[in-house]
Amino acid sequence: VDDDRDPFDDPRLTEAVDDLRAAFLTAPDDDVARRHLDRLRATPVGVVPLRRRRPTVAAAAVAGLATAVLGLGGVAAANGSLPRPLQAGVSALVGVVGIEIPDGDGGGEGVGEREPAEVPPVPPVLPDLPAPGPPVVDPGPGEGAPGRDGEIPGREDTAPGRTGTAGETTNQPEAPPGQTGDVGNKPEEPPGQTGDVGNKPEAPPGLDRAPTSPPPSSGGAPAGPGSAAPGRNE
Amino acid sequence: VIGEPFPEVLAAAQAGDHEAIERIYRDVAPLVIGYLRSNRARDPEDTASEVFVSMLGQLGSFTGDEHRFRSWLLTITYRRMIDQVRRSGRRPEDPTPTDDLGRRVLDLTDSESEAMSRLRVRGVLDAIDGLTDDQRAALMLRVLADLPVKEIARIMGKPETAVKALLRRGGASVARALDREDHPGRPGGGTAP
Repeated sequence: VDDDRDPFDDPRLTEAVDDLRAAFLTAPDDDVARRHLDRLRATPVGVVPLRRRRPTVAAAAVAGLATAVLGLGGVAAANGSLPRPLQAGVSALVGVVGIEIPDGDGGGEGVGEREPAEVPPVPPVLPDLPAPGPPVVDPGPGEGAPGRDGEIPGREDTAPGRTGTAGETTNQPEAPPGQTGDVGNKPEEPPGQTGDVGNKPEAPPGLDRAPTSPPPSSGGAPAGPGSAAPGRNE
Repeated sequence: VIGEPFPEVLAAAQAGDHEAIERIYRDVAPLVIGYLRSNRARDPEDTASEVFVSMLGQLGSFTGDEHRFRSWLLTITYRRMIDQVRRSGRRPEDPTPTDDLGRRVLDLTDSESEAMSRLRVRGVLDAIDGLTDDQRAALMLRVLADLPVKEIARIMGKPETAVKALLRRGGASVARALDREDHPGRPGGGTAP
């Protein structure tokens, strides 16, 4: 059987094909046509495509090239290998969004020069003293960050009930646990022992010494909500 | 066939001109309805109405000449017909609709009636009814729309080789029916020396 042969080349079918066309290709009845046309008049002409167009080969090539250029360019910029003006421009551009890459001033060695500056300096022993050494390029989360200025985590100079300096807190290790009513931010402290004293802004200055005083001596503090807390004597 | 003014008519129809839409409808309605009827679609006029609504809904995105437009419209028709068959979960129309096709002779003009009568007498309608759905769908695209194999394959979503096989078997069935009518004493016919 010849697959390429048109079966309708068979002369026996010619007449049958003509009859089929004459029998089936007929105009619709007037009623049917009117019904169809009425429905078409009520139908808006749409522009919905049958299917999404497939991207052409050229479009795919351009997209691939752009991806490659951006990817390789990004890697080169991160390594500081771009030409200096371009590197500086890219560095400034991405620096806006917080991404640091070499700016090219170091001749491609910017990464090696800047990395030590990003390492946090050794915390000073005394919190109030200025940190030794060169100024920090990137202070990070802030000067008041724990470990940066010697401040004890969880404590603030402005904490309620405290009027002393942070340096005074270094003398408190001998205070017995559970009796330092001013240290209101210690999580291990039971509720009620700190709230009445530590949270009172009008607490008398004498409370400065509260950390070294036994619990009964702190009874001078105004009775607060925590005065009835366990472990406290009125 | 609209012919030379088709681009202007199409542009007007795409702009919402109802006269242009009606002109296109009058031109293609016999093809759409006839194709559905010949494939034993249930309620061919109602199905055709859905086809035309779908056509109008997508008309704005169509680009091409009249030949391509007819092929595009037949694609919609074919898919709508397949959807209808799938929804109903049955063959297009059972039982064999030879009588149903013949009954329509009453509504046809003289020439159309004569053609249908000849088809019945010569067993062509029976032969078409005996085809598979795919064979009939391909055969009628070839016969009624005079489409080449390539476009039939695209409309039906089948390989060209498969469509050629469908057309060959469908054409052979019709040819055998004609041979039986020409040589009633020869069972099977078609192989006479």
